[in-house]
Amino acid sequence: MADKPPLIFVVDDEPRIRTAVQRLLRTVGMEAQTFASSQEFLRMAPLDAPSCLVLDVRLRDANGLDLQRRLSESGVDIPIIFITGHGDIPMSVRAMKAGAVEFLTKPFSDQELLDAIQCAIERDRVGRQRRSELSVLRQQYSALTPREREVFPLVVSGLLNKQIAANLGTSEKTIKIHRSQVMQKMKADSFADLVRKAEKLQVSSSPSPKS
Amino acid sequence: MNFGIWTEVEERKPVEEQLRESEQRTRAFWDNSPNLIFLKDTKLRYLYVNRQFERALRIDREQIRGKSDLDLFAPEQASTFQANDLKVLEAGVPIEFEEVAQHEDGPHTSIVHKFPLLDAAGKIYAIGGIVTDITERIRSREALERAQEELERIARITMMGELTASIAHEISQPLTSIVSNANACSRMLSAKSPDMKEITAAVADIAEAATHASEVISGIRMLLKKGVLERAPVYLNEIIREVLTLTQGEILKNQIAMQTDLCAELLPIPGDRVELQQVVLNLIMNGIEAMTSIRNASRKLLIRSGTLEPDAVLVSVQDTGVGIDPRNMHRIFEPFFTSKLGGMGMGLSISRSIIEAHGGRLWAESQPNRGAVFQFALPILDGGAPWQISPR
Repeated sequence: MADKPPLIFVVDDEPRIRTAVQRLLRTVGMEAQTFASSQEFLRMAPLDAPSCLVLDVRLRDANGLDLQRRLSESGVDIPIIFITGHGDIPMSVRAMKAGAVEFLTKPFSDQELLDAIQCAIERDRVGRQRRSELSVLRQQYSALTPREREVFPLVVSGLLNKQIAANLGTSEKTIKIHRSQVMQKMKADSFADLVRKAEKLQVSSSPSPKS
Repeated sequence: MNFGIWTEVEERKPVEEQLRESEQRTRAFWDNSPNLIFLKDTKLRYLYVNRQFERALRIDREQIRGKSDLDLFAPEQASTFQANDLKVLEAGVPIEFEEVAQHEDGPHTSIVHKFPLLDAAGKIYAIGGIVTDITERIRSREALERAQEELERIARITMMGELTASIAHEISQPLTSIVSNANACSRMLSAKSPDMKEITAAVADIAEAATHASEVISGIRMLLKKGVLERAPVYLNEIIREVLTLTQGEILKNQIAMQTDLCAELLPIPGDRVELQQVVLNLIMNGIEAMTSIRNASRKLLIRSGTLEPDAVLVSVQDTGVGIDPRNMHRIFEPFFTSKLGGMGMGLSISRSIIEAHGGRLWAESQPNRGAVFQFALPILDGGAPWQISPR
């Protein structure tokens, strides 16, 4: 994966805070892009880059929690750190339940913010890795023939070639060929690796295989 | 009794029959009255009571006849009734009293209208009494007062809560900027070649945010001051009397002996009448509340006014309550400090800020278990210019 430096988005309607947070992040070598409203953020932020979002709960044009909901509804999986001048417990619970990384009460210390950002970036990295791995796996899976897709779940369920052959009403030799095709197309270097990939793809043996 | 309208009709009837009917009518009025009615002789023995009286005491009227209050009521109640009776006998005119009597179902407070009955020679031969029970009225009035107090308390707390939340938000914005900029500065300064331009910008932003924060605070202060400070001649004795009228109910309810010692020549001071009233009210209510748990000692509240030196007046409120714990003495004027259950801890801090805004001083003295004295001094004039005291 390309190791692009992560971009931190800061959405707060208070210009003093945008400038100060941006300046603070620059001292630790992080680049921050700031926005005065949720509209501005939705319009201009390059959401495909590795990033995390530092978001004020109370914005002039919208509630930060609403922006969180809109992002997740449109499938944007960006880790969010909430900052608030008057955080109450129900609000922070709602934010955390909806997947926020952290809920910081203003004024927060630099360490609190940097720790939260570190954690958010890590979460973003893991998320991105998982998503790109999955898309590679899906590509590999789509190259399987219909017969190989039948054999795949039976193989990872731990059945022997002989049993699979009996199941599908064919010869053990044919199954052996299918198995090696699946291993090769899925780029699995061991049986255990194939099982892991099957789990990620949620491939499981059909409920009632032919007897 | 003579009911004029009927006289004409009665004239045609035999005298005996007329008397009998008159007697019956009187009795009907007596016994259908919702009031307790009684008749006593000059030795204060009961001659007659109505049916309502019988019901209240659950005793037959024949058993009451010839008995005195001492036979029917507890000694202290009976002696009060008899003392009032004697006042009527002495004065020879009707008098109204408020009396508390033990009925079968508990103590009842009543307005008792007592009046002398005169014979042909103008000599008093009996005392009549009409008793109007006001227990229920008092009870519902007290319940209403309690409900109002509770409502006011909740309204005050709600207002404080909202105020606190908005203050917190308004102040936290510039503080966030200050903290982040300061943190950025220290990180930049520890770099090998500090970016002086950026550091200068950060420091300027810190100063700007701090200025903004102090503007927010002075704005809130103005808000709480409800704008322009009123300054008009205020007579503190008047304020004390007004507040005492307001707190009369509390004083009676808590059985407190009130005593005032007000200096008649007290000069007016320049101030805000409503604010000073609030201070006096706070001090008196505190005094009363400090005494509610006192069981076997007297509950006395002494309010004094006087002149202090040539140019100040002094008001003191002294109670015989629980006093102030020496450990808390230095904290009692702090906002949100309270030793009372359900207290908000605002009364004394607000009182002190009001007195200080008037250029005066409010302080307390106390000996544990021997009560407390709260007093404030206010200047009569300010630098020779009457009615002009600068708020700060």
